[in-house]
Amino acid sequence: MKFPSPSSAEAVVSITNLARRFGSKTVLSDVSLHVPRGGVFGLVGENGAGKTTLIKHILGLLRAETGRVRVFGLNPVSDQVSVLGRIGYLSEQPDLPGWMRVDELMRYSRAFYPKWDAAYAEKLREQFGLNPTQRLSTLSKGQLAKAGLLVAQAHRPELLLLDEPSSGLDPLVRRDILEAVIRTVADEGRTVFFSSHLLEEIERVSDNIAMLHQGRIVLCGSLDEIKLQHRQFTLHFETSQTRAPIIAGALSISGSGKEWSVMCNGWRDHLPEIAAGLGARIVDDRAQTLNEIFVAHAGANISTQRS
Amino acid sequence: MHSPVAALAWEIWKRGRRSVWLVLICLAFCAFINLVIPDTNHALFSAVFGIAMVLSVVFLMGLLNCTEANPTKEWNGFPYRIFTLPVPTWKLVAVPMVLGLVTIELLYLAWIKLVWTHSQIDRPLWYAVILGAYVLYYQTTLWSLADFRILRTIVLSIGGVSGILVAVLPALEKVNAVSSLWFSEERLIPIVLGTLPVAFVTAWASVAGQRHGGGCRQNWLKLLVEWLTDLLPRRTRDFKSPAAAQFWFEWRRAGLLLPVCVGFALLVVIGPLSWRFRTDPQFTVIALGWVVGLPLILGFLIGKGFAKPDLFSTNLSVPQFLAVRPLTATEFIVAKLKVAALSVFITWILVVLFMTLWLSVWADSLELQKMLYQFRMFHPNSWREILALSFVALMILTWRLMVNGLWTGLSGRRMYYFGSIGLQVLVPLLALLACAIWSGSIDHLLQRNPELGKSIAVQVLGWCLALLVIAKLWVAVFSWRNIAPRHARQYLLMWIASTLCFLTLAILASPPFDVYRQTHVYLLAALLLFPIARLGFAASSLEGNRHR
Repeated sequence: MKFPSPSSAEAVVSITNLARRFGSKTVLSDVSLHVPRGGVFGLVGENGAGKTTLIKHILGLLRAETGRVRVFGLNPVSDQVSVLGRIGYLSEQPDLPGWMRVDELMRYSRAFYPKWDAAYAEKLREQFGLNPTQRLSTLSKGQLAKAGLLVAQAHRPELLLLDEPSSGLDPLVRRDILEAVIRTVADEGRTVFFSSHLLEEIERVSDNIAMLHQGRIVLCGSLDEIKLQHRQFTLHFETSQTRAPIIAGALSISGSGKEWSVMCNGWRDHLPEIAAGLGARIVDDRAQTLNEIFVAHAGANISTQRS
Repeated sequence: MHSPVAALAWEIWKRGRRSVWLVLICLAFCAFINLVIPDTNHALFSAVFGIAMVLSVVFLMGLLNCTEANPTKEWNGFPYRIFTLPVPTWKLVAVPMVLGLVTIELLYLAWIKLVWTHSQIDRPLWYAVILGAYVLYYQTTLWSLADFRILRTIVLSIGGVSGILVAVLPALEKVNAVSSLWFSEERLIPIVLGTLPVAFVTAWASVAGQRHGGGCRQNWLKLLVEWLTDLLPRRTRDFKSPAAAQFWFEWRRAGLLLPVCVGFALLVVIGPLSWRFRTDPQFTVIALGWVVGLPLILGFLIGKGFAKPDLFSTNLSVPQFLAVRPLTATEFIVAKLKVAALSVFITWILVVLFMTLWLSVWADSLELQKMLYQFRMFHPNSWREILALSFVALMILTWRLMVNGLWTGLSGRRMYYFGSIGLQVLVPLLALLACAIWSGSIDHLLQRNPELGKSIAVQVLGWCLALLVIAKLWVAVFSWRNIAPRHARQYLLMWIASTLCFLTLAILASPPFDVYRQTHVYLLAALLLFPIARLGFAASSLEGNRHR
C-alpha cells in the first residue's frame, strides 16, 4: 500500500521496502516510511507489530535485510557514529547501568555529544527530581525513564527516538515525558519519532502517524487528515436486516436490526449514494478516535487475511 | 505436571538441558574409551577421564545454578519471577538443592560404574559427600551474594580452592608433618554433613529476605560495601573525549576484578600459608610458583568474562545502552585493551609488593637462593636482563590471556564463544589422549635413543611453530585490513616492541650449547606470544554484534 509522504530528500528518516525476518517469523514486510523534518511522528501498533524492530533499524542496531534505511540521508549502519551523534534515544526499558550514579551518567553521556547542553541537562535533572548522587540501581521505574529521557534530550538531538517511553509508567511520569516531547518539538527544526501502543498519547502529541500491523504499514499520514477521512456512519434501514449489509471498502460494519454502523476511510461523499442503493439512510455521522481507527484497521486486516 | 515441585524441577531441567547433553557426552565418551581399551592401558587414560569428569561436574553446576540477572538492578540471583508463585520459600530453595544433590550423586555413581571400573577410587563415600556439599555451598553462595558480583566471584574462587583442600584432607591423615586425627574420613564426613543444613538455612534465609524485600533488599553487607565504595575517590571532572569516557566505563565495570581477586588470594590464602610454612624452604619454592602463576590463571579465567560485552552478563549481545553510543567499534576495543593493560599492571605491582615483603621478611629462601645461584651460574652475564624481561613477558602474557578472546566474546555468537572455550579445554584433553594412546611407542623411542627422540621433538615443534607464525602473520594482514590506519599503526608499534622483548628474552635464555637448536623454537614461540591476528577480528566481530 502506498501512502502520501514527504519526499525522501526532505525526510529525516527515509525507509524504503524494508523487510526483516527472525528465523521463520516475518517481523517487517515491505515497510516504506518517510518521517518529515520537524514535528512529532507517531508510530502505533499492537504489541509485537514490529515497532521496536523498525526503531532498531533507524538506530543501525539492525541491518536491513532487504530494502533501504537512511537517517539524515546517511546509512545508519555504515555511518553509525554520525547518525547516533544526532539522535537521542529512549527505550521502554532503558538498560542503564545500575552501578552508575545520576551525575556519572550525565558526565559519561556528555563525553559522546559535542552539543551537550550542561545547563539544560541540569535543568532537566532538577525538574525530574533526580538526586545526582543516587545510584541508578536504586531508582524506580519512573525515575529510570526520566534519567533515560534526560540523557536522550540533553544534547538537543535533531531526532528524538522514543520507543514506548511511557509504557507501564504512572500518569505523572507520562505527563513529564509528553511535556518533554512537546518542548523538543518547540525547538525549531527538531523531530520526535514516538512509538507507542497507548493511542491516546500518540493522538495528543503527534502531527503525523504511521500504523503498523503485523509488520506492515496499514496507514500513514497526517493525523488531522486521517481523522477527517475516517468517519463512522449510522445507517437506518426501513426493515430489520438479518445479515450485515455488504459495503465494499468499509473498514467495519456492526449493528443489528434496522441500525447498522459503518466505518469508512475516505469516501464519505459516496456513502449517501451507496446507502440509498441499499435502501437505508444516514442518521448519524461522527469523527473517530485514533483508538477506534486502529481497531477498525487491525480488524479489517485480520478479516482480509481470513478471507 | 500436577505439583509445584514437578513444575520447578521441569523448569530447571528445561533451561539446562544443553548442559545435560554435554554431561552425557563426557560420560559416554569416557565410558566408550573405557570399554574399548585393553585392561593394561587404563592407568594411562586416568588424566583424560579425570579432566572429562571435572568438566561434566562443571557443566552440571551450570545446570544447577538457578540464577537470573537483572542488569539495571545489578542483581543476579534466585529468579525474582518465581517469588510470585504460591509456593513457600523453603520449597523454592529446597527443589534446586535436592535436585542438585541427587543429580551430582547420580553422576558420580555413573562415573564409578561406567568409567572408573578398572581403578579403585580411594574413599568413594568421602568424595560423594564432598561433591554433594560443593553443590549446596555453590548454590548458597550464588543466591546469598546476589547483590555482590565481585565479592561472589572471590568467594566462589576461594571456596573452590578451599573445597579442593578439604577434599584432600583424608589423604594427609598419614603424612607425618601435618597428620591429625581430624583428617580421618570418619570424622570429616559427619562434620561436612553437619554443615549442610547450615547451607540450606542460609540459602533459605537469604532467598526469603530477597523475596520479602523485593529481590534486591538493602542489607547490612550491601550498605557496608556501598559505604566503603563511597569512601573511594569519585570522578568529578568531565571526560576529555568519548574514548576517555568509554575507558572509565570499562574500568569501573571490569578493571578492578583481576587486581582484587589476586590481592585477595595473596592476602587470604597464600599469605597465611606462607606464614604457617615459613620455615620450610621447599614450600617457598612451590608458593613462589603459585604467586607467579596466580595472575596468569586468574587472567585466563577472568579473560573469559572480560571478552564479553558485559563481564557479568550471560547475554553476549552488546547492551543497548552501549550499542547506541556514537563510538566506533574500534574505540570500544581500544578501551577494553587499555583497561586490561592497566588491570594487569596493577595486579603485577601487587604481586611484586607481596613477593618483596614475603621473601625479605618471613620466607625461608634457602632453596630459592640455591636455585638463583644455579641460574646465575648458567647465565652469568645476562641473568638480570633475563629476570627483568621475564617479568615484562609475564605481564604481557597475562594481558594476552585477558584480551585474546575478544574476537569471539564480542561476536555475540554463543557458538563461537563457547566453541573457543571448548577448544581450549578439548585440545589439551586430546593431547593427553594422544599421549595416553601412543605412550608405549613414545617410551620405547625415548629408551632406545633418547637423543634422537629429543631431536625429533624439537624439530617437529619447530616446524609446527613455523607454520603457526606464517598463519598468524597471514591472518593478521587479512584481519587488520578494515581497521583505521591510525589504530593499526599504534598497535603495530606495540606488537613490534613486545615481540622484540620476547625475542631478546628467547636469545638470552637459550642454552649456551644449543645442540638441539632450541633457540629456533624459542624465537618462533616469541613471535607467537603477542596477539595480533585474532585481535584484528575483534572490531568486525563487535560490528556484527552491534548491527545484527
